[in-house]
Amino acid sequence: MPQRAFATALTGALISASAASAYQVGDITDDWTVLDAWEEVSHRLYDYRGKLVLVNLFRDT
Amino acid sequence: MLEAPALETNIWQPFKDRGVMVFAMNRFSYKMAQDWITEYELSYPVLYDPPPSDAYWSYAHQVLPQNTLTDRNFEVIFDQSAGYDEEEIIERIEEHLHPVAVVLAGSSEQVVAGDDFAFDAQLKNWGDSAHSFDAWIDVILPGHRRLPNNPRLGPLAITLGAGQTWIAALSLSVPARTPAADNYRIKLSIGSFGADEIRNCDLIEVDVVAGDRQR
Repeated sequence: MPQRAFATALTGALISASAASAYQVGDITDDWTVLDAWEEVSHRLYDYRGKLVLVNLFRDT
Repeated sequence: MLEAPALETNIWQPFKDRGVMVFAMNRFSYKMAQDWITEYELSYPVLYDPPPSDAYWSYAHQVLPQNTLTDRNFEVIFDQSAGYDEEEIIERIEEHLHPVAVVLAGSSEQVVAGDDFAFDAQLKNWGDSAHSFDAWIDVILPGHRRLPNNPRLGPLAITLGAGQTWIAALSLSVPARTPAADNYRIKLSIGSFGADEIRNCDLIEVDVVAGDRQR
């Protein structure tokens, strides 16, 4: 049992580490499906295979 | 979001018909995003990505605004944090643009199930030399599933000399039993069909509404 608890803790650490590291140049971005700000149109990144994609993360002010 | 009007005018408008897609993404407030869309008449998609989705965090470095550019197979080619250097973004886009532009234009934004949906396709070679490629049309269903019998049109082998344009008036028949729903997408791709290598593409959205025969 102690071994199992250790394995669980390790997995948790790996997950949070990967969530904290954003893409670098050369990485392939994962697919996502996200709604627009009106919650009307769903956009899936991989539908746009063939286009250059610019993602702008913006500040609210 | 101060860069939004410049992004609209200087990047989205000039490049949207050349093979560039722009998404703005926010995790904190969709209300404010809506106000900006209205005030600046933004026509590129502004997305709201609340928890537990992690699309936003997969891109985000420390300081906003951030602009990340990926190539036609989603490899990150440029990543600009804590600023908006438009000249550099445009330079990187131009480096990676395919010379053949793909433009689809629908005859309307909706179609009645059982009718045909008409649309125009245009390919233009902006380059200095000839290009040969396949062109084909796929239909993407709501929920982003592909029709099992794609491509619906093509593949068609095309060669375009420098400066040449190919224009076609096309239509797809929409079966009477097609479920009424928003956001069906029609996608025109160019590239190497068998190898599934896409060099450029364009997509249009169409809503399917129920026809008389569905009552």
